[in-house]
Amino acid sequence: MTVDLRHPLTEGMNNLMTWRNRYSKIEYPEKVVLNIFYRKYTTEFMMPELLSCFNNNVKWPDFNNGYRELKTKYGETAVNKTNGVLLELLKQTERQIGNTSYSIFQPLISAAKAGDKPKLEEIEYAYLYYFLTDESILLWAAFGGTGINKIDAIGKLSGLILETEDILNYGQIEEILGRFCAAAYLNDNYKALPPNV
Amino acid sequence: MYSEEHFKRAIGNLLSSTEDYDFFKGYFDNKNSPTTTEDLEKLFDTFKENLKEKGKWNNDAEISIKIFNEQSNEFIIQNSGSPLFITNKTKKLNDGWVLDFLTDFEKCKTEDRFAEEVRPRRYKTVTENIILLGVDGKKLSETYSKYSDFNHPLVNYTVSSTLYNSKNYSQGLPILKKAVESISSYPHYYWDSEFGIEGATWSIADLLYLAGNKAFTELDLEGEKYKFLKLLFLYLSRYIYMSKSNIKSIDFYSNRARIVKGHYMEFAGIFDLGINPDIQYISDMYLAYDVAMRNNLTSIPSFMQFMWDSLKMYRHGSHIPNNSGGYQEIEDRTWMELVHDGEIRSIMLADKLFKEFSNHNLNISKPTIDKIFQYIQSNNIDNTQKYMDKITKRRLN
Repeated sequence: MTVDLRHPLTEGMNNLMTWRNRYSKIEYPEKVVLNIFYRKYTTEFMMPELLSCFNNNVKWPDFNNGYRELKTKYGETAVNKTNGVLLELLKQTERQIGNTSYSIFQPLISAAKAGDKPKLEEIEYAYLYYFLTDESILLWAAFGGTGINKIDAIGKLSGLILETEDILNYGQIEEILGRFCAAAYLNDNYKALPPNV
Repeated sequence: MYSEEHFKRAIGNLLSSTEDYDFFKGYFDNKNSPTTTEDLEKLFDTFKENLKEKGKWNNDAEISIKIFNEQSNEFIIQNSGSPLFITNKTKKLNDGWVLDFLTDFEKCKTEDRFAEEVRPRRYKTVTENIILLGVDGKKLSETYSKYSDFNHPLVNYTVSSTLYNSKNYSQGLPILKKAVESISSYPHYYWDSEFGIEGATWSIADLLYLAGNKAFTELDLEGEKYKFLKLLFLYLSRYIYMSKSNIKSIDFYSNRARIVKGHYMEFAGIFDLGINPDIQYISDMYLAYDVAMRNNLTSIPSFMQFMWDSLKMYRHGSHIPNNSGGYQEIEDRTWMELVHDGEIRSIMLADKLFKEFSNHNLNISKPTIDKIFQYIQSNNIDNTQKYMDKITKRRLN
């Protein structure tokens, strides 16, 4: 059984609906991708802190306290660190962030702007996928702060016991939680937005 | 996501210049304080015009107003006693094209009219007939191909109901299933769309009709039946409240009455102890008549019948007149008092069901929907030709 990601999924779907109404059809695909990377860079900037949750010390008595604390820090990092540099960072289109790069999305943006409906859905799915993955990473670190190790924390979220090398960077944990938590959850709960007209 | 802080920041941005501050101060001083989402829209339109006059209207200003509008709508919904009545236009799906679909669907209809008697009969002295309209299958297929990508519940319902009502289950049921899947769990994209809620309502109603009680009992899905009934009540209510009892609400009120009456025992449980579903029937049938009356439609016999059905239930506790004294004696309250009580109770129940729905407690999983549709499919064999032969005998033109 995977972690219940119903609240992040609701938030992600609400965001997509809001942006569709806020931006024009031409602006919208780019704004969604911009938000994917806004979140991804924020998670990467927080990675040292997230990994430090697994130093075998109990940082918070309760998982929920830890999750709330990490969410607050995530918001602060987004505003104070990512916001000012995001557009500069995106100019390095080939730069790997997690397991992807902005250059992978550029052809999708162009096609979606030109009215390619499947490509727009691909962008929207990617947004939800990375949104849920990044939320799962925060949950994973929140478990770490209760004193359990990285593998056990993955087990708590995915219901799986994995054999893996030590997790030392964003790309590694993104791949694991993306596949076993976000993709698994979306498989059962994803609803495609109707084409943007 | 809404937060008080976002809302305050949005206000701060909007009032950042002295000129803009003066505009809003002047607007509110003229006793224009917005109290509804419509008032807010008027305020933003006036502000937009004001900026245009000053030559200050640009993309940034437009985005700022949109963001403030989003936060204001969230603020209103979060602070509303009943969000069921509010449509959040900043989250509304752009589905105005459904009107084009409905026009195209009208063109699929032929001139043929057939009658089919309703069985079992509901009235001793009246025979009810369903009037069936002919539809050109080829045109319907072309119309569906044009709109199927949108996966809109109203489109899926309209096309699928045409197919399975002509006993073409193998093509109709998969489309109905798509409609049900898109609205049977929270969140979905159609909550703020009248067309979406309309499609959601009739899709669930038809699913319950096609499955019948037997499917839920045999599949051991009694709990899921309650969820479907709750969802149906919620969507019927949502349409009535979001549309502010528009003309289509006649159908929604009268069907809410029938659903509650038709599933008496289930709704006795859903409404909670001490509430008699018959009172809800009295209330909703009268409210259906009331909407018809406000739209000058009471010359249509079936709309007038709503009033008689409500009154009969009040006086006799049944559709069939008798000497029992009905709810007039049992409740010792006037007809209109019961109508009013029923209306309030329906709002309270719909609110409660919305809370359950938005807490994901009414979600129905895909495997459950698969099972129910497999059951319906295996119990309904395609029989279009034979059915056509049968109804052709009662052709009306």
